[in-house]
Amino acid sequence: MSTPLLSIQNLHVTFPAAGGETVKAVTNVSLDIQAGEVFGLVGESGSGKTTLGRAVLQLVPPTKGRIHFDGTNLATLDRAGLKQYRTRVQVIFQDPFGSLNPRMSVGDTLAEAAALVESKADTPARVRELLDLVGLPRDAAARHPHEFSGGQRQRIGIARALAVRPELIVADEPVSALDVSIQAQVVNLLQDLQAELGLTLLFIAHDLAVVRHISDRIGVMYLGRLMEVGPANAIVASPSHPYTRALLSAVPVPDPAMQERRQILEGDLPSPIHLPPGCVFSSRCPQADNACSDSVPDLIPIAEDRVCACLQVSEPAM
Amino acid sequence: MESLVLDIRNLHIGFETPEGPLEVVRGVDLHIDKGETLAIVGESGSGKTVTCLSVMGLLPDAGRVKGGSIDFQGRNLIALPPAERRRLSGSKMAMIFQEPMTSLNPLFRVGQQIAEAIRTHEEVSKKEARGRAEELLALVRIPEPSKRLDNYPHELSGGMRQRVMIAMALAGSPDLLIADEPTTALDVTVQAQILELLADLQQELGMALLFITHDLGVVAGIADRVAVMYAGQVVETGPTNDVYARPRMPYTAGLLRSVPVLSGEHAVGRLMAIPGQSPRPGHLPAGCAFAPRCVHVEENCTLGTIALEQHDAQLVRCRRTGELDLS
Repeated sequence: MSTPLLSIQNLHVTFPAAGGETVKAVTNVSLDIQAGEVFGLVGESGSGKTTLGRAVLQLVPPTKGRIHFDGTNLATLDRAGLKQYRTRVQVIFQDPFGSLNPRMSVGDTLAEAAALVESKADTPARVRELLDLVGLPRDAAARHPHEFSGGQRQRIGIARALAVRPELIVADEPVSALDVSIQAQVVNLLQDLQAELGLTLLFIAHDLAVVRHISDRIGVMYLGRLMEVGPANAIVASPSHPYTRALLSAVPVPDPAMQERRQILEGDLPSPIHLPPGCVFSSRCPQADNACSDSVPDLIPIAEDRVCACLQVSEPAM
Repeated sequence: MESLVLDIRNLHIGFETPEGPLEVVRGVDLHIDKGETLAIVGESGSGKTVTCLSVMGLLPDAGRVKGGSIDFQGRNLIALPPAERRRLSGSKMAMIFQEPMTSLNPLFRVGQQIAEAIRTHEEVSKKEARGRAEELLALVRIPEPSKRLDNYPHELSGGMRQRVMIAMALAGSPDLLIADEPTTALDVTVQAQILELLADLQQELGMALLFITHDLGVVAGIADRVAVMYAGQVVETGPTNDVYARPRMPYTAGLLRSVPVLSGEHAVGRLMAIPGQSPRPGHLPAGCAFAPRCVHVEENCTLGTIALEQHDAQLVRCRRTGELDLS
């Protein structure tokens, strides 16, 4: 296999908490993403998915572990290197209104970003091209963010991310603030752009159905750890980890006939300061036994291109 | 009908804005029977929340009921004197909201807050109220309820806080519970717990449940009947199974298809998006409000007003519903 575009190795991110305690946001996550791949990271609040994305964006420093982009260790980048890295990696946030400057016209916002990589003469044409790419009318350039609906604002956010011609886009809950009918438009747009421009996408969301729709592979996180990684279809068709199964079962399905066979997880997410001993899911897991709270399970291969961290799921005889 | 709890007829609600008056609810008819769950489904701006706030008498200052009636257990709430309405809507109906943290007072223990709600409805001693509060926490399946009484809201998880809100709502033994997106802010595994709790409580207590949501998946699991709202009107209503199996209004069909699903023929490939966006109040097109986004639109759709018409067990607001197969 070729060198992955993004390679995360044994990443830990912790934050200081009150009373000298430590919040363990991301614990020992390793993950490779190939160029042109859409990797979906799914998890509930407190799973560490957003912190992982922010670590990739170099918005939070890793406590331990390494992140390589295109073969380069991000920790070794100097200021100039980091600046260049940030034209190759971009982000799309959940709330485009919070991430767009309300005083700048859409055209100015896009031009400011595009000017980082385009010549002055080419910038106006690039702004028009960006508006076309995300399906906004050309006259949008003269207008301000508040004049647009939520779905259109997210298109502006996407256009701004594309302005620097990035290779990797980290999209953190890009559609969860949108109405259902608009959400589908934006998911389709992201899918089209990804294919058209050959982008690599780290798609972070809590909605497993959306993640499954757009992703080639899925990683499931719980309390800072990766529980399971594999091809999107395989994860959904035959989830291995008990948490993945519970998550799949909890997704509300728009079909009254499908509601009966639900498995409902009990309890709440434990505190990320005082993690349960052993497997972090053991305190809520319907299948946990004593061994599960004794040792932390490693991610082990369970099928082609699939890994799972559960003592109850054994390695197949190969 | 004596089993009828809530009967809304031809409700019109307007808002005063700097740009002039805007009509956001345009002739809504809804009814709920005892022990029944009705879900109102709609996207932002559909008027679903405003409709329910008007039932509770909680419209913001700029909002006014411009016409129609809201009958609760046979009495028109709109015609009642304010004091009588407050007494009725304070005890016999209750509402829970999306974000329990903002509905709870962060400075008081949850036990005190529930006890206060109880003492608003009944003349009981503080000690009795505390006992009732503990019973209510047990009713909403909160483990170790006597300990939890002394917790502050920030010490509880989002799911636990929503359970506390439900406990407070049940303090007056309401006949109607209105739940406005009660699980939208919760994680999916916790959402499943709260939905199950609401369904169980409704069975146990026999109250009517009016459930407001944008999520068609949530509705499918909980509602007996569903009413789909768009641009201030009900555009389709009927038994949940019928509407999901055979939507007869193109908007309902579009909404159902645009939800990403995990299995079945629509699970892979492109999502079926609805083009365009909802009209803004005050900028409604002539005829059917959905016409500009509808793939089945004809010239006829943009003329006159379109009434809700009966088709089997469903009521549908669409000129073309008889000729279309949307299932």
